[in-house]
Amino acid sequence: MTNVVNTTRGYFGHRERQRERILMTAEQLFTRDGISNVSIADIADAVGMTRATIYRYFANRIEIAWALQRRYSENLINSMPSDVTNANLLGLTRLRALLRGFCDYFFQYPERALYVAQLDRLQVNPEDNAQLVELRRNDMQTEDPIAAIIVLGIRDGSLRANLDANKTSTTIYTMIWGLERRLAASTATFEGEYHLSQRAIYEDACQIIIQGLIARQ
Amino acid sequence: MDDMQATNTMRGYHGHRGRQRERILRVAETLFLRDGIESVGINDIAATANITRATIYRYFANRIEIVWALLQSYGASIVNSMPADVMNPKLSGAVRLQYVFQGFMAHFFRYPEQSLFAIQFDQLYAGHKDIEKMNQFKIALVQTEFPLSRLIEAGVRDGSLRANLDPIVTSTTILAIIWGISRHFAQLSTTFEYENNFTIREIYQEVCDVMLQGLIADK
Repeated sequence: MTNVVNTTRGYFGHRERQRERILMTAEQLFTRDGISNVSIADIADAVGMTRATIYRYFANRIEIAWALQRRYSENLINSMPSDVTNANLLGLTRLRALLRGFCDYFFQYPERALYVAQLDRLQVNPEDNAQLVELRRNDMQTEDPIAAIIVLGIRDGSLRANLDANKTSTTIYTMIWGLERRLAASTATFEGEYHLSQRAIYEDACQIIIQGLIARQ
Repeated sequence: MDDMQATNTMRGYHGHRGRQRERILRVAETLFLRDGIESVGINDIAATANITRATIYRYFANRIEIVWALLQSYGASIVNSMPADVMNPKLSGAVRLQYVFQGFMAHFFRYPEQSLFAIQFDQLYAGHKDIEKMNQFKIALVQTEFPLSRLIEAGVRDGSLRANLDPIVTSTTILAIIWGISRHFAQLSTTFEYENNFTIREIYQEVCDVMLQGLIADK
């Protein structure tokens, strides 16, 4: 993404850079003040553009919020260990690699989990929510990568035969997002309160998930 | 909970005090949930409860005290949601753990507003970082509560749970997952089922099953 921006010349390069500046500024404001407290006017002021310019790139705040979320998902996918997609490995091994990828990404960017929690909060407003649902549907990948790995793991005998791949995948996502938002909301207090590192807890959670899905002899 | 039982059985002046305190708590809870903890003042609570500010100050020194009192009552309602067999020493640790999960689930579906309040509390707490108060609160809770880490210890000892579990780490992990998914579900209740083809109850149950499978000992 950055490469494209740097090497593109002329009008399109300008557009890309301008869009990028809007996103970066919005990210800072969203993180500091909460998505629902930031208006297009605030972003325009902070980035030093007119509101009209911003509207050339994004119809509203929700589109900006979603563009950031998309970028985070892409970063997460790109940061996954290569074992996740290695077809020679067992489903179990690939699932383990995937959970490690989630864990490493979380500790690299814990503030992004808070951002996801903020996006969740937007859904309380029916109008915002309708728009988010629409954006998400357009973006939805054709295949859920976790469900695909679980199907493979059931087939190669490394995961429990009685798993429903889609349900298990939804369950894993739920556990991971739940855990992350819990940890991210308590970064400052967790270790003082529990005398355990957040990483130890995240790794333990991954271990419990794996043990809960593994085929037992 | 002791508080509420006491309220119901007490007569006269003390009964009145208990009821008034309870009323302040319920009004504050409603306002906190609607407007956000930070946006509600003692004034607002007094006006809605139709009592004077001075009366509220007889029960609570400030807004934060009310927040802590609510949290305390939520702790009690979690404990009360636990099936009796959680404490049954004749059952194996694994079976009792299963009942603990059932209790958390029952609590979540019975009091979704408490999960929403917890989301707000997280933010407030992150700003205050009042770890000492939180630890006092937890000690008080653990004394009345099912002690999750001791239950896991019992399960390791009776061979129903994996021998390599560290009870303290495991109980912290379980709670982090339970609190996390409860907040997640509470916030997404309107859209989750629409987007996922599964009900929140189905996925909550599945999370508990995966955790249990992940903790029980191999046969």
